[in-house]
Amino acid sequence: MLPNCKQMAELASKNLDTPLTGMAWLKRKIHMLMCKHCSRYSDQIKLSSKTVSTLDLDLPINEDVKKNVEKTYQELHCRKDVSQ
Amino acid sequence: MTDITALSEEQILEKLLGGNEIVFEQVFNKYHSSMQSVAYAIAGPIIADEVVQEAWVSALKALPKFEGRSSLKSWLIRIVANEAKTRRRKENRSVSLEAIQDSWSTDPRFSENSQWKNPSSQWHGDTPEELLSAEELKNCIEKSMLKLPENQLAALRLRDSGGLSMDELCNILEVSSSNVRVLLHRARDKVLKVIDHFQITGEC
Repeated sequence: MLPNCKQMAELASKNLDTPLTGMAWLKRKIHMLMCKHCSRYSDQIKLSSKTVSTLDLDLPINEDVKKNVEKTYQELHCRKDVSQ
Repeated sequence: MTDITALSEEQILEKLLGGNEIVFEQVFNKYHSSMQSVAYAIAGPIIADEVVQEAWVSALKALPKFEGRSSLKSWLIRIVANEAKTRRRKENRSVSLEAIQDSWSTDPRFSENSQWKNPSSQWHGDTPEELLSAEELKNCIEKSMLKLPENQLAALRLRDSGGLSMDELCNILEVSSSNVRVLLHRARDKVLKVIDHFQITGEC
């Protein structure tokens, strides 16, 4: 039996992380050939995932954290070689 | 002035190890927000800053050992996620799975026999760049992501932004692979709905 549209929606996301194989792949493919809504949803969930990967959340930077991290960087990687 | 967008990761690493503070500041500004959102989602907002700071310190110490087997971003995300997980355990805070039981079972987009009743619309754009050319949509998505349940946000950031493997997600979030899949689908589906709504109405 072919998956219904709601199951197809979940499979669209699952397929991004663990690509379907064998009969599961074939059943999904057949459903998509017959159902333009699921075919579109599949493309759109992939595009949504890609879009998220390009976005950074606008959380405020704590300036104290930045200063402390910069200080650590200087201590660990910017030390002058005093022997020279 | 050196601009890291014009450098390969290998070149960035070389400059970081060479003590180039300008490059470090750019690296910090580029990745800090992603790291912060992972810490925020896994360890909670109260200790998120502390977690990110610890993660940066660990990363800076380990920098000479970074072999470039993953991207710099994935490497940093992995470090902050593990730090956040450790802190979450210390604070006795667990990742709640309650939010998985959301409105999916009664989603009005589907009919009673689970066929599409209100499918998504045709979008104007096939790439993130095309979609995000509308600055407003970018803000809408960011706002909607901050409203996601913490576990969904964590899964989304670790996987889609950090590029971590599914096994790593299970390990960090301490949930089964089927639950990780559900978290990811619910989160992506919410982003999809935001984009779809914006495509239809031009509003958040």
